[in-house]
Amino acid sequence: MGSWLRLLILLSLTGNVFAADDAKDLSSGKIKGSAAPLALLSQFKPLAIASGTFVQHKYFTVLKNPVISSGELFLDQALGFVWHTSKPIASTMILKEEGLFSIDHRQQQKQINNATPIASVLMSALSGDLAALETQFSLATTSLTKAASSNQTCIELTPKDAVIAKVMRVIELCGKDTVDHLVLFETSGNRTEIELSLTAVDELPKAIREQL
Amino acid sequence: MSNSNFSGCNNKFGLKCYLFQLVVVLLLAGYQLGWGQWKIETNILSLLPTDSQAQASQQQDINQAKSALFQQANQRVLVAISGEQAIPAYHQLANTITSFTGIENESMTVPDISDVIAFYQPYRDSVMTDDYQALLTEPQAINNFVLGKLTQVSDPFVSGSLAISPRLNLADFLATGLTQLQSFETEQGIIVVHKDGLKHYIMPIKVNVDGFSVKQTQVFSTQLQAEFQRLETKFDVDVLYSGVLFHTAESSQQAEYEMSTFGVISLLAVLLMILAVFRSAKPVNLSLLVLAISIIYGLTAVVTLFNQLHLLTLVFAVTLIGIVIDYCFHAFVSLSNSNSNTGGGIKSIRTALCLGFITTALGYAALIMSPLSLLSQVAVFMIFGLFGALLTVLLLLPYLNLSGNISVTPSVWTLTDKLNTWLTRLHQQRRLVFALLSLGLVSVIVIDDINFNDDIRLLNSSPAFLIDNEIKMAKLMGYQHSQRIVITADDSETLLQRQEVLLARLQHSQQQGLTVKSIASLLPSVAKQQASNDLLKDAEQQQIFQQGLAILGLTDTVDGFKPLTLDAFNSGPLQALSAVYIFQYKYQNQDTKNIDESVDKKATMKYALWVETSGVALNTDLQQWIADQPDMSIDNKPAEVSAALNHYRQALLLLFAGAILVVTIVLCLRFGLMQGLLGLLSIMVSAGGALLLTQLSLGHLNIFNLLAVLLILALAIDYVIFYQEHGLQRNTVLAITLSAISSALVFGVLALSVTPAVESFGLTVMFGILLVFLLSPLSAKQVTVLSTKQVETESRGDDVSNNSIEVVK
Repeated sequence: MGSWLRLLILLSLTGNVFAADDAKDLSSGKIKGSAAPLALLSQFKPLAIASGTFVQHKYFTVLKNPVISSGELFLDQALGFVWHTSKPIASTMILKEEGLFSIDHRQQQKQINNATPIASVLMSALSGDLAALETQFSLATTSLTKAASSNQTCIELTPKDAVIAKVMRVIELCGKDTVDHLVLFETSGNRTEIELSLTAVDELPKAIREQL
Repeated sequence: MSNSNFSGCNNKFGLKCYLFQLVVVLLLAGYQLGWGQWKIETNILSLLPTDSQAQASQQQDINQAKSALFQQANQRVLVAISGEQAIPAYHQLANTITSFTGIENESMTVPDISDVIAFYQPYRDSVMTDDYQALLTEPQAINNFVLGKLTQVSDPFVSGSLAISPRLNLADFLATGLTQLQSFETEQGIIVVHKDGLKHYIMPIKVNVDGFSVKQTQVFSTQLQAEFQRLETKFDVDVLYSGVLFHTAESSQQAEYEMSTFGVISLLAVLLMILAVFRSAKPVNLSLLVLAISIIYGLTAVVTLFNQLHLLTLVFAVTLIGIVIDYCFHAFVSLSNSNSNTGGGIKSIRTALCLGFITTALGYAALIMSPLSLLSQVAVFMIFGLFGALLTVLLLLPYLNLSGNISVTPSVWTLTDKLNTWLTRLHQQRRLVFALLSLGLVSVIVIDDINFNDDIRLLNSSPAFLIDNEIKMAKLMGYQHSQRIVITADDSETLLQRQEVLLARLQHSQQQGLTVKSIASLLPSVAKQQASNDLLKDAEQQQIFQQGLAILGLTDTVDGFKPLTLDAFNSGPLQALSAVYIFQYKYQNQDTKNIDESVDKKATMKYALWVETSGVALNTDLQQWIADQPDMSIDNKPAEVSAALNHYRQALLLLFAGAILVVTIVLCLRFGLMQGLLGLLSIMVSAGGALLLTQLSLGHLNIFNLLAVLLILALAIDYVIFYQEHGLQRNTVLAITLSAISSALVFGVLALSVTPAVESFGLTVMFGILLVFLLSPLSAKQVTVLSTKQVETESRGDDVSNNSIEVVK
């Protein structure tokens, strides 16, 4: 839900250069090595202000085709995030100091009160306290979905918390310079794949800043 | 001699009458004790006035529901652990608690989402949120809604229920409902609250203790506090805890300590004083006898007339002790003089005692018709208790032939005479004294705002750290502005329907910032489920879902109606949530208590639930609307108790007005206008002065100060009447001095109590007794100087100083 979004945004935007990895085994999700993933994460050079686009594919086991959506995202570490889905239906998620808000296509705004258990971890990630991530997730370098040719490193986060683990099996982050691909594997068998393209900017557009 | 013969005959006849009625009263008391149907009432709210019978029964119903809720709250303890090692400390606490009998960890296990979805599957087409319902009018709205849900990054409800409920009404319903009810984050299954950059891990604990077992409460409290201490040192964490349990334990320990120290010390002091003055244990025994008889009279009358005895009646009725002791001292002092030719003995004080009794009884009689049952109980208790004491003093004591057995120590007489001289001098300046005091009283009233405080916290003697803990915990858990609205009903369906009426009203009010939590978001009434199911079927017929389902490549038809009842809900994975919001309680209707007990027991079980509002306080419109509903009530125990205290305060002020009127009439009829008004003035100045001095020293007044005034008034009336009847006679001065000292010892010592209520009572009594003691002699008639010789004759040659003594003629 909303908090997952927060995690994903945070993790992807604080992405760093992952070492090349020749992982091939797609289906097993086999861990290729445990080359100090925390050390890798700790090399993050946070993007203070950035904007970009995303394309999301949601694979539901009961649906033949994935549900595809796309949009833009904006980040200002001092202000917060805006995750704006424009297709097929407009909706916006805004993370700011007052909390997490969702705006649907009818422009109805709702505050999402029940931040999930990892909200605190997200805050730790935001403040650069990466050790806190390790308290919630087992980290491992791996490759679950990327082809060997992609020349990308992937890191796998397995929730330690049994409550989260009931819903989320594993989160995979992949990228070269920054995280540009992430996959959520749910215990239900459903899967969400998100392609990201982010670039650092000096300042977010005024309209976005006003929302934050 | 003839006089004594006559008196003997009279005594015997009187004694026979006395013994006869005593036996009757004791038999009645015995009957009430053994077979009586009365009960002890402890709930202060049950004493609130009620307007009509129908309302009374509703009120009683909702009060019972609230008591059940309150009982639940009483058993709850919240622990918040923070610090680096908080999680290990939490687990250690959870482990230790399992070894404590009667204490359990109430942490709710977060239900598995897949279990919840599976549970709702049969009812999937009978539940929807209001927002979803609003979308059902047009196909595009539903399509957009479904697409919006499906494109969210991750929604476990959508993921889990898409297969069984592709219209996503179930996903929306569950996500909204659970979000609303489980507003706390969890970490590793532990509730965690962030505050001031710290993580607090919360453990709710249930302690199986009922409100009455003080010892048990103390044991649990000590056990838990010791464990918290251990955690703090072992793991270097901060443990914050709150719960009624700790307050009860602290207060009861405090009360036990005070009773065992103040109680024993003041009782010993009074007994020592009696022994020192009369040099005999007899007066001690006799006072206890008279006191015991008067209490039996009072209690018997109350339980016979009211069928119930409120514990607070006894609190109010401590005044009885003060006046009965007063009667005893008059009797003892007069008995010590009974050999004299001047006609001592009980007979000499008969008129004054009777007059004092009549005045006090008339004052209390005004209370019998009070709509507040507590005050009528107090009135009956006082009138009958005093009557018993009066009869015993007048009819039993003379027969015991105590003359000569009780004699006052000569040195006491010397002191009394010195005091008498001093009082006489003061008496000569009485105009000045009264003028100055009245002026002072009026000017202080004008300058200083008299403010009354009916805060329930007056009854609380909890140490500061516990109160501090409560405040911190309330901030942590966001309870600060929360209010609970209690609804009652005979059956669960009516209950849920009434809840929906309330929720609609709350929503309709559109109060900014108002958050509402209720079980309705997961368990709608069967009627609402039926309506939802009908709406879905209608929408399906209008092909509202067709396009959306086609895009997804799914087909599905709306199920027939299957009601989700409370019983079914309670057998599902969310039972723990329903247990929090809905409870059953035994309804005891006082009107039907005589009905055969074979009446179906199920009929007496009723349902209640509560809805929590937070964020902002309910506006007056909503409060009024809720107050108008016979089956709803805002649960605000402190406010209700404060309101009750306010009621009693008003009633007491009325009582004072009535009592003053009675006193004025009696005093003026008996002693003439001038003397009567003087007596009244000294009573009023004493009572008013005591209140003012209390106001000046504490900064506010409360009902307990008025209770103290009740005692002061009763004592002042007696003192004034005795002085008016007998003048500044040494007997009178001595008896009144002893009475004042004993009252000061017994009640005044309460000023040292830690409980604000008790402290303020004691303080007012202390000030009042001092003032009454000084001012009541001033209302005595004009004094003339008697020669020492006359005084000597009167005192049968006791060691009297040569100073001339002024007494009233």
